[in-house]
Amino acid sequence: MPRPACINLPELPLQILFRDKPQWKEVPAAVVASRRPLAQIEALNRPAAALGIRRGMRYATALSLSSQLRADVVSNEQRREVRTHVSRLLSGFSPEIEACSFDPEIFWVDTRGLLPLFSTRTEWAQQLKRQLSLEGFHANIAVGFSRFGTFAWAKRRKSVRVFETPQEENNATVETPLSHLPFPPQVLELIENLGLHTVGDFTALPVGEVRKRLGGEALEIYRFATDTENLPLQGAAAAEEPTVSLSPLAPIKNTEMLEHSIGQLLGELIENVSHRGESIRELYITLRFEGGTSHTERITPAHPTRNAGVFEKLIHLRLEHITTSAGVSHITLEASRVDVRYRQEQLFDSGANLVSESADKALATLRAELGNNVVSFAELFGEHLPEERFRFAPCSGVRPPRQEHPQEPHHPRRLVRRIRTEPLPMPQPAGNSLDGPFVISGHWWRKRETQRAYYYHYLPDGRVLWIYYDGSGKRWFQQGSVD
Amino acid sequence: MNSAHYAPLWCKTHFSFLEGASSPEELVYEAHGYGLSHVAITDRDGLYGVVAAFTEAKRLGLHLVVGSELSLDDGSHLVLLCRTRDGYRNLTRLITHGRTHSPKGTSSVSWTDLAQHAAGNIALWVAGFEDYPHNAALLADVFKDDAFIAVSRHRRPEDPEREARAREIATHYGLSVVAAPEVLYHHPSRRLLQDTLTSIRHGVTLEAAGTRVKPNAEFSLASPAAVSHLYRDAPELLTRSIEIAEACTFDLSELEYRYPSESLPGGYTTSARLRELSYRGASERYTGDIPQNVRRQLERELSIIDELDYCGYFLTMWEIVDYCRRNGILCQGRGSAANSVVCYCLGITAIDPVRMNLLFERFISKERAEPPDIDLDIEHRRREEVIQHVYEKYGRSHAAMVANIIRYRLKSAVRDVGKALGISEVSLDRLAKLVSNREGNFETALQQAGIDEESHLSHVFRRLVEEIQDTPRHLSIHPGGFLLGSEPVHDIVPVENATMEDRTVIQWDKRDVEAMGLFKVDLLGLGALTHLDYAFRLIQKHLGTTISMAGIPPRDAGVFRMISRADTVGVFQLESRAQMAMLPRLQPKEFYDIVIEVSIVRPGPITGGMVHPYLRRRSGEEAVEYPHPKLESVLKKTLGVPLFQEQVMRIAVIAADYTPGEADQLRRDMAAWRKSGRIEAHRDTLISRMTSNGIKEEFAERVFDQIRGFGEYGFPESHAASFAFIAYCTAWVKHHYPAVFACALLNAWPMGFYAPSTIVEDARRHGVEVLPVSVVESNWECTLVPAASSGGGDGKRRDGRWAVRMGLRYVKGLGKGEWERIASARRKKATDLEGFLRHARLSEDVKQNLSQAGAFRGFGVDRRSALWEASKRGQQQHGKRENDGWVRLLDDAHSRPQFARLSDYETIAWDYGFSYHSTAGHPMEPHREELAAQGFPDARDLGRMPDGRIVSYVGLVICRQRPATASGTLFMTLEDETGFVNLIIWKTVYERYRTLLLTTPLLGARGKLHSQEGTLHVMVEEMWKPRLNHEPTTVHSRDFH
Repeated sequence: MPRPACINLPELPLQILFRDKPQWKEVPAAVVASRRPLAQIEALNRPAAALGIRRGMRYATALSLSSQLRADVVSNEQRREVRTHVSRLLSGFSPEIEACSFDPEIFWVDTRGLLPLFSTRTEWAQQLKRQLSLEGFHANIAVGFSRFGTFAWAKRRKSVRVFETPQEENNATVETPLSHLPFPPQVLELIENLGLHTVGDFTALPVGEVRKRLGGEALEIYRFATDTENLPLQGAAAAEEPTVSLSPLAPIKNTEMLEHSIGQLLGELIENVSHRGESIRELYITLRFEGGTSHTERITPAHPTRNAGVFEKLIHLRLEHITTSAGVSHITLEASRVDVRYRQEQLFDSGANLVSESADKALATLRAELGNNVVSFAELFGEHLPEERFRFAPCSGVRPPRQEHPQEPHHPRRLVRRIRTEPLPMPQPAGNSLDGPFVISGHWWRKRETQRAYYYHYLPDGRVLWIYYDGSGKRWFQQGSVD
Repeated sequence: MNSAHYAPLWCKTHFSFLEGASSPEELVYEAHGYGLSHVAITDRDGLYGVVAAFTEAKRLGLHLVVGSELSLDDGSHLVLLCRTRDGYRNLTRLITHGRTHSPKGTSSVSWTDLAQHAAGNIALWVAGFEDYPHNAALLADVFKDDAFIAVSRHRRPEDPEREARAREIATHYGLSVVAAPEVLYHHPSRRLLQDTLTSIRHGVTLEAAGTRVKPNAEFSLASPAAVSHLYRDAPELLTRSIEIAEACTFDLSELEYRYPSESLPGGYTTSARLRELSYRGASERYTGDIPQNVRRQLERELSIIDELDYCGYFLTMWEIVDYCRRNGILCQGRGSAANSVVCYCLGITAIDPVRMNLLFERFISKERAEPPDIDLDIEHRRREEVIQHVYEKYGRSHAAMVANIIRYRLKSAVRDVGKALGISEVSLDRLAKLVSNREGNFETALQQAGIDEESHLSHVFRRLVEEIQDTPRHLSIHPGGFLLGSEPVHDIVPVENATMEDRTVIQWDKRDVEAMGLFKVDLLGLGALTHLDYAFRLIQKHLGTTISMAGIPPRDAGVFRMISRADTVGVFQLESRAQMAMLPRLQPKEFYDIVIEVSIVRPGPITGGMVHPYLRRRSGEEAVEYPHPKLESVLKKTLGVPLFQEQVMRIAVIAADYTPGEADQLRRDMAAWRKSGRIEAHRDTLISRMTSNGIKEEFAERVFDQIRGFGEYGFPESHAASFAFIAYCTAWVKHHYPAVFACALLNAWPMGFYAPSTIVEDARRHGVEVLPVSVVESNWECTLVPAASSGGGDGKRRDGRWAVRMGLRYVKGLGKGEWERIASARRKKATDLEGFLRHARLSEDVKQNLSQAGAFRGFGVDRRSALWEASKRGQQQHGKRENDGWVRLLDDAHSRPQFARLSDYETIAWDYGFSYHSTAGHPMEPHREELAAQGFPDARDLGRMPDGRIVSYVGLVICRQRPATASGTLFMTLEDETGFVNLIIWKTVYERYRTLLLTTPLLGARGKLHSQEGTLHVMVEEMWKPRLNHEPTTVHSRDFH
């Protein structure tokens, strides 16, 4: 007979918050959906509840009740990480683990065959609870005979409970308030308005009417609550980035050998990725050297691809410049993937042109040979300070030039100022060589305000410099020169 | 060259919304301070600021050049300056064209439009010439010698290049250049505000604003010396600016406004027609026997009206009122001119000012020839009909609504400035709420919102929040002010489209209209008139009695007794918590007492400390004294205490020797927004002149305080009288026809102070039977139906045979469309719920709400069974599951489960939850036994307890108020099934129980009972959340309005 156990980590987002910020446990604290006034309170502790703050309340409303409220967001990433961590931890207590598909706070594990290790199921549950507690998690645990029976208890009570007979589990289950079940709020409201409050009340309804009147989700819960089949637990598949690795028999000191080994791994990786219907956007090569140090290289092709030849060429260009006296003792290749449809859709893109594709390939080659930051372009910004009007940024691809406005017949030649990336300090110039001032001031909202008086500085040799006096620092700088 | 020889030709005030950072007055004043002779006001696509600038310029003797910066559809900007009246007309038409043919809030005209409206104007091309130089040919062709390219020097690095381009284009196309720096503020210190406004306009933070904000602080109105230095290499450009300003001879005083004359029958003059209508009306009012004093007053008023040529205006008001009357729309005039015998005889008002002793000295000021002041209140549900009638009658081009300028207030300032500075939304939201709830000072609020008050950011934030207040944010529409003209309105002032369909709005607000001597007709919506109209119709329909406001007996002792005991839920103006607290103390016995009551519970008299002296004098505890014998005539009616705006002005004239002109200025300054600070300018003058006339300084100070209070909330006696009359009429209906009163009020709702549940409870307390909603019996609106037992209440009710049946409009989520389907299904005579639902085809939510509101009881189905029936979903939703074998096997669709009956608590809770009221009882009723066992009295018991006793009470919160005048004290009203209890919670107690007070709908309070002169308050010392076996149903509370 199956003996599943249900582990409930109540208010998991709050537990995650307190793992990061334990000092918030004793003060009013809450998890919010985002840091915006209209964001909802997702979870809260007792001190916050004592102030009248409730789950579902707007963040701004909660703050109006207490300005002392501490609140932060628990991201989906954090939640995923914690679930993975808990999953790993549970794997030390049972080989069969099933993460609940509709409630992120719930896990089931199979307790069959564990008695030789833990003497009793109660002992098993207590040890698991202690272990989770050491990791900073509070859990309710119920061991019983069905998923629903254990779920209902673990959602309802803050304790460890081991049911000895199916009847005992069933008796406890029928009394479970419906508010603990994952009904959509509107459906739960309707059911409670009908005067039905417990699992027993709900499961007494004629099933056909449940479907007609309460909808599909209620029917699923009905099935869950009345399920007698008790299917085996289903473990979840990992969805990590594909990785392949190799530990050579002897450390590799030769570049050609290294490229060969990487090439072998690359084939394996591409096969893995191909099975998923994906392409590789970026390839990370991590080399661990004798002595324990490691080094990672990022290879970015012009477009996501599964073409091994493209990667081999780029890897060759990158590795031919790496020299090390220490041998490589371990190689790992990790692929950052993209759905292959991305590339397929591009085939229909009328704007695709071979010239820019070739240019992109050339840039990828340059990056591979000389480093990822070697190709950059000046990104323009609408700012007043000359040095803030542009910034060099890594270039991922070629862009068509901007269409210039057609020149008017009478348009004079523009002044061309060649701007330095960083203004250069200079001594005070002679007053009679200056034309100005032209003023740029502002940023008064920052701690340090901008106050610059610009001048054209005429040099005896005929050159013209574009210089300024910084009124805040009381110094002169050369901003650039004028053609 | 004389250093003063330049004229700023391109100045934008803060009416260039979210761009200019100084007011028109500030710019004009600064220009005058620099010794300039001319200044041009050229707001972006508008003439919003010209009236204020003109008034200030006239005061200072400066020449104002009127103009506007126009946005062209190619991105160019041109400043047009009016040389002549024709030029002004062309400009207003051009702006109107641009505004009405562009999306709301924007404007753009084409070069062709510009060419068609060029005559009489001078054009300065200020932006866009670099990109579209060929348009210079068009400009030169259309404007000839009046076309210029502006040379704007602002010490920007790109200025020399730009100027060279301007000169080159000008030379090529034969145009002239002129010095015209762009002025965005009157002083460089406003640069911060200008940057902030720009960020707000673009919806970005200052950090991200980049080149959208100006590069430096050189956009200020500059001194002649500074400008001369800046243009030292080209003084002729400055001289040209003077020449242009001098060429612009148009003056706003040239606007000739004529009120539209009525097309009159039989060759009447407006004067003769007004006289005839007035006497005809008088004959009807006084049933053919016009008293001599009325006749004398009528003659006096007609003579003044004729002399000032206001006959047309009065005829317009008569025509609108006549339209209302013919279409059964209830309306009533108010305002100083409204309370005249002429208005009474024309039917504009219903108060007989002679009999009521309400003849006001300020009927119309002959000396100042100010426009007459009549506001017409119209029942709010039908006001739009009247507005569209006015458009139709006068023509869309001859009628437009007056603007209302929405300005920054503290809360909006905090939000917008904070956002521009990049402060987090959460902190700003918190701060905005704290400052609007007036919880502590700004520094404390900053702390509570998590903003470090010592930081640099906090300093600039505070400064900008202060500076931005009173700056216009956008143009809105006045609630009901119309400008009518005999010539098209857009020849006087530009007109824009309003947000609301079929409405147009002028670019001037009511102060501008008044300053220009234009006539405004105010058509305002008033819920109380809708309430009365509904009531009169119900009385006519069910009792066969025709009643009008004018026909209501004015001295009904029973009505005054009811008012005196504050039995005034739903009575216009007398129903608020504060009014109810005052009524038993004031004990109104005649109509004028209601006029006083309406005026006295206002911030003006309260902050001026006028309330208690008046009450003491009225009750004889204090002798009636006048601060000066000359003031007896002014203050006699109010026992020596000034309560009305008119009295304050009269005091200024008599006791402080104000000239009529100064008094008029005082009135304007009182009406101006407080930040203008103009009222403070009167302080020393008023107090010193009064004390030198022998008036005690303490009285003088108090009068000044009251003037300041009046600034925002003043009530003139004439307005108070009109409101008092409506108040009396509603009270009269409530006294004699409580069922009609409640039914009409529920149908006119939302309006007034109380939630429907309180109105229903009040009706029940007055013996009115209120029947629940029913899909079989109810209409959309509430209706009167024969009562189960006749003669409810005290037996004196005139509508005792009638009960109120609640309308289906009170079922949550039910719209008019659903009601029509219900009515249609009803006609098909379904005999059971299933059949009815099949016919009605209602949405799931509505079916469930009707079930829970108990509206299906007519089919003999209890609410839970009805809910089960109503929850049956459409087949389509589940069609795909029909093949689900598991379900099919177990499907026993014909079984109907049995559900538990609703408890009393649940019944009332469902009533409130789904129809906002309950006819089954008050939410406190089911708890009464339990509360009594715990020793808590109800509201009625509390009323019988002696003053000073320490009492404990439990009730539901229906109102929370923290008035600005109460120094942090919170006033709450609690309700139970027997009535109301008012709580006074001092600041210290409030702070101790703040969370409880703000979050808990059912409260326990302990404190000292204050029961004097019929008023009942508990001075709270302790509060708690009561423990009851069941969670009580909550009611809607009216909080912090």
